[in-house]
Amino acid sequence: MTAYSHVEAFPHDEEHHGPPPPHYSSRITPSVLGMFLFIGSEIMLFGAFFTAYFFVRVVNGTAWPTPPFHLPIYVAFINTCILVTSSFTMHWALQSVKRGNHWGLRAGLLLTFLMGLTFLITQGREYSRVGFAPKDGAFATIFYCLTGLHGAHVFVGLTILLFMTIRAFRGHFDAEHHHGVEIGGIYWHFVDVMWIVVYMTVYIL
Amino acid sequence: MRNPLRTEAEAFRFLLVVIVGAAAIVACAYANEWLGVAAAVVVVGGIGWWLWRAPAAEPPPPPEPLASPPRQGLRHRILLLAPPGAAAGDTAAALRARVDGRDAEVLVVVPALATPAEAITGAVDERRDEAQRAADALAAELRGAGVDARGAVGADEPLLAAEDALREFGADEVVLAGDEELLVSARERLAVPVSLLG
Repeated sequence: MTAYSHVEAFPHDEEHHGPPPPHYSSRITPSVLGMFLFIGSEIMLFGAFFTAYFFVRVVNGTAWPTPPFHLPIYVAFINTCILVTSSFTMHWALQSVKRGNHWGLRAGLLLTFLMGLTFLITQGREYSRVGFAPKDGAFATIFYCLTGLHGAHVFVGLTILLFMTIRAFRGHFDAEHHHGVEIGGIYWHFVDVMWIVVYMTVYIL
Repeated sequence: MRNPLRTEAEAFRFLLVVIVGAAAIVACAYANEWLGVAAAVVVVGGIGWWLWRAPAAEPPPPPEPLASPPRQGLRHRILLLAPPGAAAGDTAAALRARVDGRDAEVLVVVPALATPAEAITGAVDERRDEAQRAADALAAELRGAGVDARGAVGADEPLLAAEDALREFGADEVVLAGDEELLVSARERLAVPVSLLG
C-alpha cells in the first residue's frame, strides 16, 4: 500500500471515526524499519554486556582470565570454525532452493542444524570443564554472561532451523517460495557475526 | 545505506567481511598490541564505511502498467506534480494556458517532503498537512479557472509520489511544476510523457 492510496482510502471525511489512517514513509518500508529496530535492540543488548566487559577489564584492570583460571581457547576456536562453516551450509541451502534443488536445501539445513547443535553441546561441555562458575568474580560473571547470551541466540536459531528443516523435508519450499529459509538464514548469519565478536573479545584479545 | 540484514545473501556477505576484518585485527594484535588497536579502528571504520556506502545504482525498474490506460478521444488527464511551496496562482494560470480549452481532468499531487529524520521516525504529520494545503489550494485555483481538478498528498519522494498516483490515475501526461532537475529522472522512471510547466 502506498502513501498515496492511504490518502485516497481515507479522504477528508468528517464522518470518519476510529483511529486515523496509518501512513508511513515510502522511503523506508515497515519491514526494513523493523529490521533496523531489531538490530538496534540487539546492539543495545550485547552493548550492555560488552560495556560491563570493558569496564571490568579496562577500567578495573582485572586480569583476563583471572588466575588461576584458563579459557579453552582452542576448543572455542574449533567451535568457531564449526559455527562459521554452518553459515556456509546455510548459504548453500538457500542457493540450492533458489535453483530448485530440494536435496541441496534439505542437506544444507540439516548440516547447519547439526553443526549448530554441536556448537551448543560443545559450549555446554566446556562450561562444565572450565573450572569456574559465574559466582567466581567479575571475570567469570562476564564470561558466562557474554557467552551465555550468545548461546541463547544460538538456541533460538536452532529452534528456527529445526522448523525450517522439518518444513523442507515436508516439501514446503520451492524456487519461488522460500521466504522462511531466507529469514532464518539472515538470523543465523547474524548469530555467527555476534559470535566472532564475542570470541575475539573474550577469548583472543 | 546498506542494510546487512536485508537478504540472506547480504547477511552472508557481511559475515565474510566481518571474518576478514577479525582475522586482520587478530593478526595485527599478535604482532603488536597497538598495531592491533589501530587495525581494529581501521576495520571498524572500514566496515562502517562499507555499510554507509550505497550499493551500486541499479537500472530503474520497468514501469508498472497503469491501472487505467490513457484514453484517446476522451478527457485529457493530467497529473500535476507540484512542490509544497509552489505558487498556486501562477501554477494554475500556467496549467490553464496549457489545457487551452480542452476537456481536461487534473490530479494535483504534492509530495510530503520530509527530512531523513522525519521520514525514519514517521514524524511527517506536519509535512503531510502542509502538502495537503498546497494541493487543495492549487486544485481550488484550477477549479476557479474552469478546470476539473482535485488535490492529493504524495509520498515523501516526488517521483515515488508520481508513480503511486499513476497507479490509480491513468494520466495522459505528467506535468512538473518548477523543478527542472527532476525532469530527466522523471522521464526515465515514468511511463507517460513528462514535461515542465511554463
